[in-house]
Amino acid sequence: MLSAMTYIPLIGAVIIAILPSRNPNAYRWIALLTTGINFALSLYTTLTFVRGQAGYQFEEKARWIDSIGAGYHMGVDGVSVLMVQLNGLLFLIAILVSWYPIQKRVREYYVAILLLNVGLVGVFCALDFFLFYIFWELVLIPMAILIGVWGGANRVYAAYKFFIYTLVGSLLMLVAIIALYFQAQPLVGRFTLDIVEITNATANRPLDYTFQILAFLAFGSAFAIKVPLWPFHTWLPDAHTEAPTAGSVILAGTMLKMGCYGFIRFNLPLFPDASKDLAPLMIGLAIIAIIYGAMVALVQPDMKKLVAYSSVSHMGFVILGLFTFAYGLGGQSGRTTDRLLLANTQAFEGAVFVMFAHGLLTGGLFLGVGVVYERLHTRDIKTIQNTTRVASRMPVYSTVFMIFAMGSLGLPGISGFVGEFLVMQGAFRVNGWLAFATSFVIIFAAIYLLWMYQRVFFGKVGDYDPAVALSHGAGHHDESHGTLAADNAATNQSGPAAGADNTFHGEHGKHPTPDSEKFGGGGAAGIDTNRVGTDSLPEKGSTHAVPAKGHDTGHGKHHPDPDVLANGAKFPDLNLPEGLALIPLAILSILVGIFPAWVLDFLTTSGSQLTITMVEHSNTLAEIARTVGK
Amino acid sequence: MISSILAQVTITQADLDKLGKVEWGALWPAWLAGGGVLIVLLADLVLPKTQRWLLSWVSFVLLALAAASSFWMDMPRTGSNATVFQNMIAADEMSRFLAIIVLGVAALIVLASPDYLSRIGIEATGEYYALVMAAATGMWLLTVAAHFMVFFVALELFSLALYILCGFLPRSIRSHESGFKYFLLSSFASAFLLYGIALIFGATGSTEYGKIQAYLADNNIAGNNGILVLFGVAMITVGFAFKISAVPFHMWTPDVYEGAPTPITALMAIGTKAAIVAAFLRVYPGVFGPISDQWKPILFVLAIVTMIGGNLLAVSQFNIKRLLSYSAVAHAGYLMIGLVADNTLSRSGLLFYLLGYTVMTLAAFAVVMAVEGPQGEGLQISDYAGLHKRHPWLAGIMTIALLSLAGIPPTVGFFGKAFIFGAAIQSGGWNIALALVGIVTSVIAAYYYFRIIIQMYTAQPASEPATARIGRPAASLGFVLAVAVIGTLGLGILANFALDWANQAAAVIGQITTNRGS
Amino acid sequence: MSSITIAMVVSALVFTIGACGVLLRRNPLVQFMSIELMLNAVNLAFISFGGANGSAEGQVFVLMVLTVAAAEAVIGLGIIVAMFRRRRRMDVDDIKVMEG
Repeated sequence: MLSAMTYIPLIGAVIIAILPSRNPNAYRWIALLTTGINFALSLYTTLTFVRGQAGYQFEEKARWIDSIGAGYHMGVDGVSVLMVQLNGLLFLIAILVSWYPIQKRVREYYVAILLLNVGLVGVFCALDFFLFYIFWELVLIPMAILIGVWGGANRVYAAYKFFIYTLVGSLLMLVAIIALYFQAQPLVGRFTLDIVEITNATANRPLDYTFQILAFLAFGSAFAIKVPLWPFHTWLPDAHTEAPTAGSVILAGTMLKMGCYGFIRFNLPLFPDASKDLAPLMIGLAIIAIIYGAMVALVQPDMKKLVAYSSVSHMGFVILGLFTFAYGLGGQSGRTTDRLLLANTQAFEGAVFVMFAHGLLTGGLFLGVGVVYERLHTRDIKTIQNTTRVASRMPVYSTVFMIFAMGSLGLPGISGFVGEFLVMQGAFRVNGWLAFATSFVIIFAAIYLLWMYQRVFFGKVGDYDPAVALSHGAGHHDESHGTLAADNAATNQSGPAAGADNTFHGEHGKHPTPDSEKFGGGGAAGIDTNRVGTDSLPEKGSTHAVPAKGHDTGHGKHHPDPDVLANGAKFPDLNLPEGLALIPLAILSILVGIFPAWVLDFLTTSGSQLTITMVEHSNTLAEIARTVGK
Repeated sequence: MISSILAQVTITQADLDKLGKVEWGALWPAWLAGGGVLIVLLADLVLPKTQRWLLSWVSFVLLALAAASSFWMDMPRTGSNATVFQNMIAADEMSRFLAIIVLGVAALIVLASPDYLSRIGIEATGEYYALVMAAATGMWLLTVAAHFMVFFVALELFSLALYILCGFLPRSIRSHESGFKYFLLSSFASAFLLYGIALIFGATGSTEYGKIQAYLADNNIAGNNGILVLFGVAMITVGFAFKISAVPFHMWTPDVYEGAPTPITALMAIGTKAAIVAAFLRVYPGVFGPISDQWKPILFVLAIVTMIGGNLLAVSQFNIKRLLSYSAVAHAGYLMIGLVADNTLSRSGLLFYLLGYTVMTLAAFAVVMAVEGPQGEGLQISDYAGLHKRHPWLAGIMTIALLSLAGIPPTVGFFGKAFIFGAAIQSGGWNIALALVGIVTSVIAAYYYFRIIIQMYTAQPASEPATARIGRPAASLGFVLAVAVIGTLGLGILANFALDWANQAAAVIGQITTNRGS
Repeated sequence: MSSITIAMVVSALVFTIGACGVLLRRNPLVQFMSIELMLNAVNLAFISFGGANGSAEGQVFVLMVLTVAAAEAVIGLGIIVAMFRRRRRMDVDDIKVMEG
């Protein structure tokens, strides 16, 4: 099952690479099909996963390089199954949102994305160090190529930076893996690279303390670069700003989680003493990352950079959660059962929940930025604010973006809140001031996100004239929606787009959103669309409104398209692939926010399992046991 | 005087018996490749001009047969039977392993040559192929030598062939320069090697691997003998460092590699390096195993300097052949880690690395061959801008080759590096520094390899490059590219088979036995 | 001083002279001759050690070296002549089309 999930994208990539057809739609459909199967398999895995059962499930084992003890071993536990699920969803979405924006080198683009998918699924499933490392590095090149080829103006620099940063970390990890391999040999009794075997073997005889510290730092620096934790974060804004939308979504959605996952899978269980003793350091870095990310996000003029820095801030929450959890396990005495009861598992669960929620919300935010960029060819907040009022032109989009922004700033009811709350609760158990500092940051998050939302979507504060806005909105709405339909009909003749699009707007018409009501005509526009979509296509609008077609050469130009930005110009609301990508994501974010228990159930067992492992592996406990034994 | 020496040499009946039985069957690769030289030269005379293209196929078949023949020859031999021809030649598992590497590479290179040679306007004549085959014979004999006399003759056999091949382009000043520089510095290095051998001979009374090893193991080396051995090892190491182009003895490498015809550059970068490293894998851990304290520190320093120097110098290169030659220098450093760490993993890891280095470097050079223009255009890295648009497959193969050279999984280069660094960490102590330097320099290496990848995929050529019109590579070159890239990926993903074989092959190192009891 | 010591000192001197010649002289022919000098120093060492050790290997090795040196002379001179034809001047400092 897991292998099928991992290698189906690879098969898709190979098929796309050797396909004789030169029709880009063929590549798109194949990519959609493979990621679709991948998503279906990940859904099946998630739904059939037995929650509350300790250990790994869906395990697969095969012999590989026997002479050094490396084997082919895959399996998932509660944490990785969530990550795999998130990954399957985001890749499907990434393929959808690339449908129109990517018009150059389509074949290579989908090959790169699918290879990336292979690496990411593999990372979360691999239970052998060599296998893990291979998948870990497999992610590197396709992502660097995605940034370097389809990115913005400064893409080559960003690609270099991304490549070199992550490679430095990975190579340090490689050294640590090799060293661990030799250190674990006497404990296991034979040379092995099997993660489960090594983790189990260190249960009774923990690794040497000095080695733990060194290995923690080596593994930790690889993961901290990937997370990215302050001060290793500088590659992230560059990579995000330059990457194409789908690249940003994947980068934020799942690649950053590789680092957090690494901490959970390796640092905490294998080096428990080091984790506890270095927890203050990590907590400190996490706090700095949280505050720093938020402060810098406050002053970003670029929407994408803003979201990228907010990612730095949110990933800080994950690390904070993980290490307040680890910190809570240190310095306790007493019986194992007591320690289990006292363990700070909600911090752990919160951290993983933040990972999951951040994948949904920040993925959504990046998608949203991509949607604006496709239409206006700029991400500069001030430029957008000065030239147009997005909310009145794109009501559906504005609503959806609102959900993601609210979720990201921690509004209860949307998934972002749950994780952050749990992490803060965990932090409070360690130190009240810690919780205070982090909760303070949520205010910053509200400031920068709402500020951005207001400026991008509602334009200039000063010149709001209800009458003008109303007449503008009403006057242009049907035309702009008409051009949307025209756009779809023109660019997507082969697909079922036009019809599906109409139903989509029909739905929207039934549930008018607050802001579309405010500007009037939102619902009416939706109904209008039904008419225009089936009627003749207005010719005039299409000159402005097909940004997907000619803009690929203009990739990376930061100055806006004057045609589009001319006052009163028209641009369409979400098109079909964007709608298919964004709306389910928004719904899912809300569902997860309302029913967090469904996600948390996956984590309870992993949390207590990790607690037991960390408590039992620790040198201090072994010390106690020894003294008690005497 | 001669009679007095002869009087001292005692010839027993057993020696005479052994003279009677000569193990001809153990040298099939040499018979095929060496005899192939004559066959190709004769065929060149007989064939009409229009049929000359057959020559490359003839030599390919002969070399491929020679490589394959290691499987049906009288090999591998074990124990005291491992050496044949009066203990001159080792016919063991390692010989077979290296026959596949060295002769296989030569076979692929002769197959790739005609496309390249015809493009740069050279008639592919018989002597070209004959010389390549002679070089291949020499390289293989070097790897199986169990006696310094065979070692020297084999070394010179391929060196002499390569001097000519480097200067093979009649109208190219660069090619002549390359031939001359290689000739001068290689002979210079050979003289050092020879002097070292002479000193070792003076100290131990033999030039046979087994006997030297036994002498060094049995006797406490001190006094005058100690000085002789020390100087001998030092001289041999200088020669060795020259030959595998270790920093600071690497100065000739970029010039020679740049000027030589690209297939010959590939042959030098792969075949020569593999042969010399393998030969010294028999010499250092084997023959000089008992005195490892004396040479390990030297090689330790050389390895570190080579890794750092080779990679740093490669960063500032703009010519792809020079870049690859500095990368070959850097890889010599990684290979030396395998010699210094000197444990079971390092030996098999070193052989595995050689195999991997062979396929990945061959892939890179085959791409260079495929895009090089008639007057040597298309060799600047800037000429690779947008290669992806002109030749997507070549760009893809180059990417895989470069990633493998950088040591990124799942290519074979990663596994090679992992095994070698692992061996260094396992051997502990200061050798861990080797692994750390290797890691740091790998990052530098990744930077300059990645630069080419970025060029190929993202950059637009400033003007239409002169090589833009070069069509797709011929089928023969395409075959070579396919073999190399499949090897690069396949040996990585299925590293277990190659590593097991390398383990078997490496088991013989240090166990060279002389047939003392006769 | 025993005869072997004298032979070794001479051999070492000749070898050093040859090595210095290669490194310091700028005429390819002279450099080439210096290499021959080095090889002959090696021959001297082999012969004297062979005599001292009472083994024929040294002498056999010398024959090998002589043969190889002859082959090397042929090829080396061939390359030098080919270069001279194109340049009409003999100085290794001119051999720098490539930057090394």
